[in-house]
Amino acid sequence: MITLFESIYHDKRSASAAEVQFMLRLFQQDLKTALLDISYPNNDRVLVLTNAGRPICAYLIKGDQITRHPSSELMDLFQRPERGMMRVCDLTPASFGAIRTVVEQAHSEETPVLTAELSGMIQKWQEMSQPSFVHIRWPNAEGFVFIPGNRVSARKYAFLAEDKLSDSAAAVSMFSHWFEPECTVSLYTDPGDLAIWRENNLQLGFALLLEHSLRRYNDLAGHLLSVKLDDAINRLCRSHSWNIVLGNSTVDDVHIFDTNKDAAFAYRAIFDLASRQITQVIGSRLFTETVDTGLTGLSEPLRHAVKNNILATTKL
Amino acid sequence: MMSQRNITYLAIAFAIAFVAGYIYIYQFSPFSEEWNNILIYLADPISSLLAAVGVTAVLMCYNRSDKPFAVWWFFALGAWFWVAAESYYSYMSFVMGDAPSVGPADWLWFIGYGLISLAMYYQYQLIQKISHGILKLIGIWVLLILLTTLLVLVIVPRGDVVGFVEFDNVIAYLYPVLDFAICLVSFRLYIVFGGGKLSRPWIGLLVLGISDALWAALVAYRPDQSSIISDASYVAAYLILAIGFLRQFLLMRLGPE
Repeated sequence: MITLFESIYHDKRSASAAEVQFMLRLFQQDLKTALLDISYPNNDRVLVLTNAGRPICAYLIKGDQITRHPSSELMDLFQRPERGMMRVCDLTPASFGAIRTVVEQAHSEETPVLTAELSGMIQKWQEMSQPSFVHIRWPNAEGFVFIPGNRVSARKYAFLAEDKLSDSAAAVSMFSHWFEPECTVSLYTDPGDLAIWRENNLQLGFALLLEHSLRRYNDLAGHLLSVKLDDAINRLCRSHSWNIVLGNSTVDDVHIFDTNKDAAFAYRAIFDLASRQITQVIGSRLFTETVDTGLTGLSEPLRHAVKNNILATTKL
Repeated sequence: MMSQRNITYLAIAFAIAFVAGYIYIYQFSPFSEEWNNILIYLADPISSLLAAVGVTAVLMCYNRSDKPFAVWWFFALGAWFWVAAESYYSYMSFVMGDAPSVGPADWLWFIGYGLISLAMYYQYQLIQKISHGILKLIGIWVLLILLTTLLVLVIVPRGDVVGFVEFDNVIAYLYPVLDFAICLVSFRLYIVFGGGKLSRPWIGLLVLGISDALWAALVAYRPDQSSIISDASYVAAYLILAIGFLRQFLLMRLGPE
């Protein structure tokens, strides 16, 4: 049984299919980023993720069977005669990937730990050669963090409590300063055959490699050219409506692609643009060296995902 | 608005006209003797000034927090020392008919060399981490001075005595040796940047190094003769360096095309 934010967002109300649709329209008006969780009497459950009011992904959960549906099939999931119990959880975009991992991966064991020990544990997991994901539950809050592995710092933190939502750097301090002294952690690692991990690995690998390349570019060419490259990539992302933003050589990728193929297409387009501009300025030799160093720093699953999906067609 | 390419073509046209005018005055002396001399002696300070303005404009594109700031700071400082050296040398040549064989201009040039070697060091440090880099740089300088002294010992005859070292000779021979060292490092940087646009100022410095080495070697071997080829190529080299900086400035301001 998947439990998400049960202690934070516990208010449920009965809703018909029409009321669910009305609720989604309200989400669109308010540009709401949220999780809509509807439980039906036959134990079916529908989860819908919306980003800035736009439904981006939906799940139908029947017992142990979880099916992911594209947003185009969303309305079919609600067309039922019976009423469901509806719950709305406000989210930050950075928690989407985390929620999808919790939903799509088989349940992970929960281990009780002290809040004070959390940062030490995360540092220990950073040493692992595999990427991992940690779901932390306090009685009144939940947190998520992705750990790329291979001694790369954890990233994509998200923290959710009743009156606090954060996916910025502040979330990191909220983890260690949260007032509740005890929590449980669930560690999810890549089993090697799950679609969600292929997506996670590609997303993490892309962001880490691009950030590494941009930092090196900034070192060699200075801030002015780096900002120009950030702007060019941001323009490309906006033109395709990809929810990926670059600033200060940092990648903020909260886009959810329908398929891994779509993600690979987008990442390839962005990386191609970056590689073209960087190569023009610092030369192909230094750029190739930069990419090679960046790849060496990635854990094997991330490196594999990047090589097969992004670099396969990039001229280096 | 003009494209980067058109601005470059315009700058190249200006440089060609500048050098052509220099050669014409040098060869045919179309004005009065005084004006011919003024124009000829102004060519070096003006061309070096253009290079110094260019590198300063590039420097202004960087924040102090940018890592390449140190590269361009030392490069600009060195270029301004060269402007001072060229101006002093030209002034003395014009006023006194001939500049002293070793004088303040030489010290200004050597300070310029020192600062530009620091710029090269910081550029290299950015590309490849060098341990004890400054110590190595000082070591290279000492080695180059020793090498020059050795060169003078071996090849400069004084009457029947070979191996007599004169300070003036060491200074005269130090120029081609330093130019050769600058050429080597510039070439290395050009290769590392592999045709990238950041290599342009280093190509300019490479050309300046070759041209200056030619000029200095000629002066060292045959101090009584100066040739139009070495003098004109010296002016041209500064202008090529200035164009390299202009391209770098345009790249920084307008981004890659």
